[in-house]
Amino acid sequence: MKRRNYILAALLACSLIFTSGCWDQVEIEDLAIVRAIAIDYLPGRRAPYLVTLAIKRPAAMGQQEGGGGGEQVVFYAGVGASIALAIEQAATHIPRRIFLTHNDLVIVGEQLAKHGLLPVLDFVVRNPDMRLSAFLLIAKGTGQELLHTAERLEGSITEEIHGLIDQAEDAAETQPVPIFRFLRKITTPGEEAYTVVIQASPLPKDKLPAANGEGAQAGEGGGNGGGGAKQEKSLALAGMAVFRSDRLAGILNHSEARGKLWLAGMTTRGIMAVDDPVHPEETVTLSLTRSQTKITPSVQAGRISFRVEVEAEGDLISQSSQADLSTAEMIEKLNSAKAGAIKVEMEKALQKMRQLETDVVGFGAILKRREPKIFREVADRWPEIFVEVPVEILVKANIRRTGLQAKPARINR
Amino acid sequence: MPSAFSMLRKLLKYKLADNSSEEKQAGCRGDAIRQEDSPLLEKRLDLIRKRLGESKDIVIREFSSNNNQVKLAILYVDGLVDRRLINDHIIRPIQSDFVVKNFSHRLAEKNALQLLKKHITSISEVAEAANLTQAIRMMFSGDTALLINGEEKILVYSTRAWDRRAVTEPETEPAVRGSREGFTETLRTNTALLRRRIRHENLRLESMKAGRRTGTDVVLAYINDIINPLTLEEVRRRIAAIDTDSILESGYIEEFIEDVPFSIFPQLERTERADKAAAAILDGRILIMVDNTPHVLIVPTSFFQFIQASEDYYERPHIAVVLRLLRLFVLNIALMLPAAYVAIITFHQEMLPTPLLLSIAAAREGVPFPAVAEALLMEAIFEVLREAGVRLPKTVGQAVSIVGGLVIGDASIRAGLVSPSMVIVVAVTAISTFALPAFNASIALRILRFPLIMLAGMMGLYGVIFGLVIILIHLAGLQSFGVPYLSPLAHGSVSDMLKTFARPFWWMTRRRADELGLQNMKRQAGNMGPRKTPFAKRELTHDNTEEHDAGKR
Amino acid sequence: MLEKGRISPRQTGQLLFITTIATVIFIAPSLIASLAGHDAWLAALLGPMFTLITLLLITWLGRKHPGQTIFQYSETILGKWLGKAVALLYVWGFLHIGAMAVREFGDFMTTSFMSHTPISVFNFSMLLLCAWSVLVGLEVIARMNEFIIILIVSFLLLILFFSLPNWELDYLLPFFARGPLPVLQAALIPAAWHGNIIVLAVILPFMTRPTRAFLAGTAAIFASTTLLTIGVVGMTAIFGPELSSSFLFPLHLFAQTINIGQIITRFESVVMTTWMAGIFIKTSVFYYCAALGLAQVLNLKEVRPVVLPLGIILGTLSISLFQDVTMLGNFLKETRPYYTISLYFLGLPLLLFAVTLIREKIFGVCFGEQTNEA
Repeated sequence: MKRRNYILAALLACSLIFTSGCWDQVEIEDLAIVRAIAIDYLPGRRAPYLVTLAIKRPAAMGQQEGGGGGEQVVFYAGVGASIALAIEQAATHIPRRIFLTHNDLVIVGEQLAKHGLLPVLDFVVRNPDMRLSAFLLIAKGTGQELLHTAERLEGSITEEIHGLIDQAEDAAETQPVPIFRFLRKITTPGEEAYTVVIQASPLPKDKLPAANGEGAQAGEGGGNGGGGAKQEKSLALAGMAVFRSDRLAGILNHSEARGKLWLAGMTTRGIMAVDDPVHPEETVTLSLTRSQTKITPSVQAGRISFRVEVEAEGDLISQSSQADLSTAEMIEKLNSAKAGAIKVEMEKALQKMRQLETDVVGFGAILKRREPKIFREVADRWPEIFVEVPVEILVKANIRRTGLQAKPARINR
Repeated sequence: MPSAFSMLRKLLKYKLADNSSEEKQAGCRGDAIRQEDSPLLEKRLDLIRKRLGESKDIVIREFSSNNNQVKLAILYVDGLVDRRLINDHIIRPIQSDFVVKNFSHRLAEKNALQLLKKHITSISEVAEAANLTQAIRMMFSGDTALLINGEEKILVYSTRAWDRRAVTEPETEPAVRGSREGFTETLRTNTALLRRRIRHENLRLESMKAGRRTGTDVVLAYINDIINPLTLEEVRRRIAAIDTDSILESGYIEEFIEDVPFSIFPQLERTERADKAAAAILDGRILIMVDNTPHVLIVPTSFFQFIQASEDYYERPHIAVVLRLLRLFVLNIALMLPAAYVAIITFHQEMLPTPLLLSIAAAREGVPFPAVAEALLMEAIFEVLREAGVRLPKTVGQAVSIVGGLVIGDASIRAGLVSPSMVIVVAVTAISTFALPAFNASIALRILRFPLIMLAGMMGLYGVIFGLVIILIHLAGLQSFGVPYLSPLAHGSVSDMLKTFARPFWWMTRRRADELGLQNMKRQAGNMGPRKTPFAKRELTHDNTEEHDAGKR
Repeated sequence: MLEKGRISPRQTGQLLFITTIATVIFIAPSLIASLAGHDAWLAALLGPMFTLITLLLITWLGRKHPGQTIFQYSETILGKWLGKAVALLYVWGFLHIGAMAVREFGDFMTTSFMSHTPISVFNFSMLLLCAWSVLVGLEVIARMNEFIIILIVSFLLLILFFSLPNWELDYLLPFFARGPLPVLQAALIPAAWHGNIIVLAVILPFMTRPTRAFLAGTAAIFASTTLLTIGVVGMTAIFGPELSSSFLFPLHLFAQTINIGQIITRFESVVMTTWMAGIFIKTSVFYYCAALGLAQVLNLKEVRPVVLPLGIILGTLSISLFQDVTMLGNFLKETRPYYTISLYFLGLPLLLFAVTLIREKIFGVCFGEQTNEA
């Protein structure tokens, strides 16, 4: 008798699970898989946030890239008073459920970056679907335009950007930053955040006056009308966007960005050119393999100063003159030339940072770690103080290898 | 829900059987026979004919001794006996004149029993049945009964011979290495196979009977100074308490003596292989051999029987580790793969790497069923295929299962009924089920898979884990004759735990398993490893018959 | 007696380990970081040391009253009515902590994974499982735990290991910059969690070798402190102190940052599995203690009649005690340490200890002295 009651009770309990719906269940083919999200700011409107979602169509994956119905990526856009509202508005057009968890790219337009990134960061952290390992990119212009650039090598624009990011880890002139690192830097006093800038620029051949209209190949998805000379663009990660608190302060160009990376000790690889020591009008190209940076703060009589010591290693990869550079003396000259060049880059970067009043390298944070009491006194005014603090830069460069050839073979003796 | 422990307590209320169960089993008829029985041959034979009916295969042959002093009759079942033995060694000596001429005592009805038994008949195994009932029962086992006029007791000779299956490789447990001898349906052959492997005086074969109408012989085999006597007592008690009409297979006994018959998981191990059975006995376990079936039961056992196979012990231990871990992995797959797949693609798509997500999404475009229904459907179809493959004759069965699987899978993908990824998942699951050495494991897994798929469809990964925890709670409370089902992993010493997965080299196994509560723990001498003492310096044991002393428990 | 099973010292240690680590590593780091900043790891390291006092008290009391749970010897020490009152207080304490654990888990599941499912589904289904395991008994819970603990520890270590490339230990640096006071204040939080060791007072009489109780408890405390400290270090190293104090479920976001070679990524479900298994055992243990306590207070012969009612109470408590997520967070940070430590972990044991001493020394009452090893 008792046993029967238990069984009845268990059955009743189980039926509860069956009778209510399955709330979170969604079939995989009912998902709109968002691969990139571009957020722009349109000032002066009540609904200033423009969100563009790049949604992947799995069904089209097997087909060739091309126009018509077989698009791999479809774009939807919406506007709203906040990012979440904008997405909601876009969702009204989308026949599937928006699925943000596979979104690895957050592209923020320049305007929004200048206005302030706080809404974006807040949205990303709170939303359980958005992953903190997604990359944050600042677009030159608007993010929407960027997403509409035609893909060239990969199947879709989002894959193209992903590929660029993967390759950037080797190039080391620009550093794509995942959001949690960005957040980490923003919330650390004495340090400002930065991330990479992505832009679409015309192909080199389109800059020549002769070529005209030949770039008008098929397919820019999204139906930009107008015939004729539609220029094909290519994407590039170019430059570093530096922030002051959460607003965009400025953009460092290639060499300035590299200088910043030198200061922060994050360069891995790259190439630089110096003047040939023997024939100054020729250039010698050196590659960079390893580097180590040490920043030491020192406080004397209430005055803060920093010392940056860099040790860089590299190889010689090409020379345009016939001089024999493989002697110790020449290598020494090359070393100092390289060191000089590096120092110049670093100083330029420092100058730009000071001009923008952003301490992207993190001098303040370093000071805080070594001399916390002193930092506490200057913490609120750090950006201004940073502008005036003397920084001494010492670079030591070493060239280790010269490729497969020690000295160029003489021509026509 | 009543706990396994209380169930255990209830099931433990078996009565101790007493020795006179034979008479009790015979029932009223036995008493009637006993009442009507008389030493007079005529009356006896009349009684026999009345009771046993007119079966043509029960032969009654009356004859008398050479000197015409003693009237005798033999009783046997044709087909169960070796008639030459009866003719040459029972009838002829009695009928020949050798008795009259050369024997010192005169054969008369008074001394016939002793003289026949001791001097005249020449069959090696002879017993005295106290009454007709006993004699008849022994006759049904293949013995020949010799009735003497005027004598209450009956001589019963062992003349068993019948068509038996040869000792071949068992089909359900083929051996890659190791002996191929499998048990057969004849109990005596089986015990002989065992004796050939364990030639020690302490190997005991205890005989019992089970089943009123079948009278099946059950033999308990164990090594007397190793086993845990409490376990043996328990096994004896449970088998003796079985009171039923028929025991046709060891499976019947298995159900009668299990701790928790409701559980899907078998609490006794089953094997057809002689070497596996011998190894089990040497480990300190008890074997239950049942007549008319080649499957013997091994008691006690644990969950990890599912991932252990005999080959592990014959081949190098390195491969044993790899294979056991593989089997554990395969066990998990066989149980959980469809459910995990359904859970992930329905609730937790964020777990998939993006390329995989996109391919699965592309593959599932246009499929009419939700993933749960698809999974259940495909699993059901594969179960049907599997069952069909078992019933068909061997040559056709293989082809049909393979072709059926391929054709159905392919056709259903083309028809757009299921997605290719689901077919792969189901196929991998099916293969994994076959990779497990134990068949009774696959029963449990096949059944449990379906509720897990349903739970996955309802609550995603949380539901799967919910189901797994339920299974875990059940397993953790399960016992097999006092040994916790999840030991050694959940209860034993560290060395036992390691032995589940990695069997040590033979020269390292000094002790037996801890969990069984054995008397004699020490298996071998200590310095058998190659490095400790070089071979040249070791003590030679020419005489290998002294066993190692019992180590401390 | 109400419980026939016996558990070995090793199983006891494992049970105690899980009752602490199951929730502490998932929720505490952000609470500690909000009070102590980058010195959070110091707080995590030092805090649990205070619970050694509780452990000492419990083992002493356990030795003085062999074979009795805290519910029983509080009656012996303080007399029938006062003792029963204290025992009931403990029953309520266990219920409270259990409800908090279940609620934390339910919040986690609905926030991070399945936001459309009502929280009662998670809470009650988890409680169903726990009710069943309570009915089956302590020994079964311990056996399952031996299985589960391997899973939990290896998953946690795996997550911590794979996140190593993202660690920047510089974030821990200004050592002790704000002085000891914030650290001490923050240390109360892990101390409150580790005070869960009080369940030893209920489990002790069921050990096969009660003399090893202190060892088991110490091992559990050290192990869980180590794991917690590593977790806090990792979290600070990845997110920085400021950011981590803003998170609700730091370990979940921790797992989101793991991305090695595009293959080893998306580990959040591992976190969910680990947490679910851990909460299952922890809630079972607390549920069991509450049920046993109630059965002993009411002098019942079996635990079974109280299990289901207590389960329903637990479930309802877990939903109604805290209206929203922030209430739970604030409670855990501000009120709970003081409440639990002063009452259950330190206050009442001290009281029992003091009264025992007084009654022994002054009144000469002799409590069951420790006999020899079982």
